[in-house]
Amino acid sequence: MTGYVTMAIILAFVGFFVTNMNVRIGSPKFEYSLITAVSFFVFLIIVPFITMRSIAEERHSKTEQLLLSLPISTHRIVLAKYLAMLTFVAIPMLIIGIYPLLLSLFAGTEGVVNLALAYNGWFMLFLLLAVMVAVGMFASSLVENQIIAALIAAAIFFLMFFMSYITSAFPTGALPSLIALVVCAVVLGAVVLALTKNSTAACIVTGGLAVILIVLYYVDASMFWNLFPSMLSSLAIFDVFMNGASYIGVFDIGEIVYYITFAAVFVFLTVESVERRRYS
Amino acid sequence: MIEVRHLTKKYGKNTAVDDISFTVEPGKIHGFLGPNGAGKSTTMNIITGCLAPTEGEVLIDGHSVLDEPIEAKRAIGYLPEVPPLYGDMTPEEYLRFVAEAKGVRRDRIAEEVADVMDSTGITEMRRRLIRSLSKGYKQRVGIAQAMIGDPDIIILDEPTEGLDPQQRAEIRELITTLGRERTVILSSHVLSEVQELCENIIVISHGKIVADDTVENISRSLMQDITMTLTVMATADEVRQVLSGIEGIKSFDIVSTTGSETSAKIRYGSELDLRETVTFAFSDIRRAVVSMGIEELSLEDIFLKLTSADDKNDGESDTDEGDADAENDEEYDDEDENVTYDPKDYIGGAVAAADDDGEDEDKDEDDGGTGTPFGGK
Repeated sequence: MTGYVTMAIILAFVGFFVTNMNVRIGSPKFEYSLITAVSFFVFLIIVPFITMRSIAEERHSKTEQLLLSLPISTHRIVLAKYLAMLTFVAIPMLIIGIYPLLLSLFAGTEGVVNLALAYNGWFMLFLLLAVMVAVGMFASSLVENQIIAALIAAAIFFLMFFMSYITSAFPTGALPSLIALVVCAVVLGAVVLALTKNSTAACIVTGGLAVILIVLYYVDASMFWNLFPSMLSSLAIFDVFMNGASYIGVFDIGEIVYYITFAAVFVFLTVESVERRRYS
Repeated sequence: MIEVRHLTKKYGKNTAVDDISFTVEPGKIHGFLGPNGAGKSTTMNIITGCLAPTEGEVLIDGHSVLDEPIEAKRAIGYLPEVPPLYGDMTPEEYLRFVAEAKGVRRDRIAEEVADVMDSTGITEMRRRLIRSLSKGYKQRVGIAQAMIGDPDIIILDEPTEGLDPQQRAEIRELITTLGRERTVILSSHVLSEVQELCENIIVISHGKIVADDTVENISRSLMQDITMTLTVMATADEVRQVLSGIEGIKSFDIVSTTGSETSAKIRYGSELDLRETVTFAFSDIRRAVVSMGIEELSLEDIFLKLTSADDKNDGESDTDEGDADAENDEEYDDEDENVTYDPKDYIGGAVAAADDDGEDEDKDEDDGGTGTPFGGK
């Protein structure tokens, strides 16, 4: 039920932007309609609703025990769930994929729809959604409550959405980057401690990373110049779609690899997160 | 065959399961008995691969659950404490899903699902939503799920918990049928149920195994003394005199004297049968024996003896056990002071549930009336 409603909402919103921009105003740029839909947070709000139940609900209703006791490996279970959600997102996307063909039957005020550009944008949006679904699934694997899972996913998406604002506020000097990275090392150590309950391992991780960072800083401080902000901006998945190739109208292999890698990392993290429950 | 070797599971500083080892031979129904929080579910979750042990290993037909999970899990059907059901599926859809997940051959799925639904008696419910089924039917769907794929071993965690007496009886019947062809391990804190269904029992308490044997052997090994309750139409003095003259009686108490009747409790070794001797001794002085009863050690008493013995041994080193333990200790204190002690209170919900059956109601009252099962100790 949730499924059909979310599909309908995706179609309604994208339909609204396409109607407004491509049909009413008559712009031939279909990909701009998709970018507008993203920039108005349509997917940032919808995707958490698709992913929130995926793993949290299995835990909440104890059906997780069925999955864990089946003669199937965890990575196959997680991958199956991921592909199921991807299929789910693909259905409205396939319907949306018909729009450029329909639009191309009519000439707009600024000429006809460029199908190559339109489908480049459409394909990149699908990849962006694939990344978002992976991140949302990971968020769902962290908690038992689906609402909290949805909130975590939405929070991550909004953080990524406004990443360029956040990084632009961060000082570009070498020392602030060093401090930020050392703080990250401490956080990483805390995560290791939480996962393994092994304080020695946590100290080695934090201490080791901190020492390496400080040594590197004294060897060549210029390496750290603007390092942290640029690392953060690599998390800006939305900027890649909205300001990147789909906006400019270029087919960029780098962006495709970036999205696929990003999704793969989060699917992998989800497997680890599910597997960790066995050891808790 | 299941081999559990030196299994330990710690949650932080809490030890849920503490270095337990046992072997489950193929065939038969095996009972896994213990109070709430004893580590039954943890052990079952480890055997089925849902949890990883802190130490030790589990071998299913020679395959380690941790190292060769796929092979090991293929031999097991598992019904966890809460049946893992998807409420928005129908039983038929759900069982098809499980069959596919367990790798049942596609052309066999329809047949297998139909067979399993038939033997668990859910065929007429197959098109309803699981969500709307009664608890008993949900439990059946859960058991059906465990049977899919025809595993040799079926593990059921408290399969009759929360069911009404009618449903309970039906599930028991189903389990008995299952036990004819496969190894069934079932956990329960409902003692009468384990006694009725299982041939072997493993008693677990505070994460340790305190007994692992057939029901008869466990009873025998613990049955040191027999207690006989006797009512005679005689004065207390006469009863005392007669009983002191009988060989083999370890001790006796005059319980009450009402009018011309005197009641006494007699304790003697389980190797003897003094029923005749006592009757004739009273008829020799022309006194009529009005009633005579032998208190047999029920599994409940065994269970209490085992778990309390464990408690007393470990009493001082109990540092890492939680609230449940503190509660138990309190109960035992009561018992030591010889306050009327009802074992039913201690196992609480367990026996309250057993009462539903109505079978052992008489005995329950008896226990309540006579006070401590450990009276003399």
